[in-house]
Amino acid sequence: MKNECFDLSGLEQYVGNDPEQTKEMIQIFLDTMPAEVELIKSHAANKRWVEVYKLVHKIKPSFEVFRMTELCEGMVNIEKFTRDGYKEDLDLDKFLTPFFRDFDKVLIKLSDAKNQL
Amino acid sequence: MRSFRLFIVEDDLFYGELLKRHLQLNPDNEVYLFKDGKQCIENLHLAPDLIALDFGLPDISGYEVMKKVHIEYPELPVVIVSGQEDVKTAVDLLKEGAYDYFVKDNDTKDRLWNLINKLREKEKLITEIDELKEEVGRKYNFNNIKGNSPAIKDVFKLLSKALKTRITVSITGETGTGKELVAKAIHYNSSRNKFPFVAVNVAAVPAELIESEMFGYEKGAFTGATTRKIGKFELANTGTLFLDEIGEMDLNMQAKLLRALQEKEIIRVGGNDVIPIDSRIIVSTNKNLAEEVRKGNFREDLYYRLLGLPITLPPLRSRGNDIIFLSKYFIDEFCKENDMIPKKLSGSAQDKLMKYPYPGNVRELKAVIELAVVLSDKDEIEPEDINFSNTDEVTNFLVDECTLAEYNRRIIKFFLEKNNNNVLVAAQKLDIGKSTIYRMLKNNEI
Repeated sequence: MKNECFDLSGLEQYVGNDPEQTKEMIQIFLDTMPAEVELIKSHAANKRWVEVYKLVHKIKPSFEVFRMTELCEGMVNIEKFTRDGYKEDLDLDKFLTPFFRDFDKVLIKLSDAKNQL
Repeated sequence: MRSFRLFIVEDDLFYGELLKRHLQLNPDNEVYLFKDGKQCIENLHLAPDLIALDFGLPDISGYEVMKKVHIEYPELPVVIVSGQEDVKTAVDLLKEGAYDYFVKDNDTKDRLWNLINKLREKEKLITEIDELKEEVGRKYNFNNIKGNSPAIKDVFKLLSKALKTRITVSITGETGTGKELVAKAIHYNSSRNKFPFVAVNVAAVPAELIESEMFGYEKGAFTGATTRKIGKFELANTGTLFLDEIGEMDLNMQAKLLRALQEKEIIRVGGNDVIPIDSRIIVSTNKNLAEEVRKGNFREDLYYRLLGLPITLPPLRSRGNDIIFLSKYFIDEFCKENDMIPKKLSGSAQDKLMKYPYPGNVRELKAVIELAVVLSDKDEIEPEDINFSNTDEVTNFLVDECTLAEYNRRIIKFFLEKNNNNVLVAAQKLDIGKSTIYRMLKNNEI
């Protein structure tokens, strides 16, 4: 299944094109990622940029499995800004805000996609 | 096939679970997922075959986990799977002992899959090599050197002495007496039997190539040296180097060999690095090396260094009833290998076998017997089934054109050897006075 936010073909390859396993893996993503993203929000609010970098770096490969192109591009930019500690004069917010917003939308679409499998 | 046990250490639970499920598509893979380094270390008793380790773990860094793993299990392959595309980090980790470094991307799962297949194949090959080593060891067991004659029993006594130390052994004997078999028996029954046995036939290597063959060479050492080549000395390190037909080595190379043996080190051709060597040396020749020293063809200092424990393999014609003993053994072996009913040797066939001088020794006897088994139509091998390549024992003496005195010398020597150097028996059989033989012995004519 493919839409403008993600493409499940990569995930399907990982699990040998087994729909049940695909569903289970989507569920694991839905169960675990919101907490991680919430943590990123919290770190960003408290300007703990190194922690933001570490978390984004950690979860990015999972987003790449779903081929979430736009979210991944945003994550790459967040990583670039925060890698060696964020400099306040750079406009990091232009990447963080859309990432948090789009993530919520993607979760809804992903949940729908799972139910259709 | 046993399971391949893999640890995945990954703090992103989704990604770790995904890798686990993917690798479990092969039911022979037994995959354990741990979310941090501590869990991984606590479970090392499960004896994994591979650890796929995330570099950025929450508790201990991947680098630290790898170091701890390698303290307990230095041979255990640890592959780092990381989101870092930093080449320096990858190189540093590989230097510190990581088996490989994978960046997390769409190909990660395939790389891991291929790595597991490669490690499985490697394990299979190691098992096969161990089995082959054991088989080779059995093949070259002393029990496989056959014979009951006093001459061969003397050889067995020396062989058992050769095993107790790493003394250099020099084996002399005519062609086909089994010099290489004896060298292998010494190696495979010694404490070095798990290490390589490397044989070099000195006569078969052109003089201009022997140095690079023995010591190896560096890239660019000469035209055509496009890569470094490891020489036989290095290949035989901690094992045994067998130099067959050492008497054929030219004087220039003899000097280099002597230096290598004295200093216990070599330098590759075109190189500067001194490489220590620890090889047991066994040499063989069908020449009389002492005679070659006298003629100036062989260095005296090298001769004494190589002489070590000298073992002289008797020619088959002087091993009396071993000829029949070996013949029966070869018949049984050949029939077994070819699913044939074992054949017997008739009395007259045995007589024919005993009369022949076997210039090709045991090797020739084996060939003669195998042909006889094939030619024989009955349960028993008869004289007509036995064919010697050198027509018969008399014409064998006539192959070379010699003086009458030389023919006399050869005939007397032949009868002496055939009768265990018993002068009286030889003289009786030749119908000559025993003093004739004693005189020839005194004058070193025979």
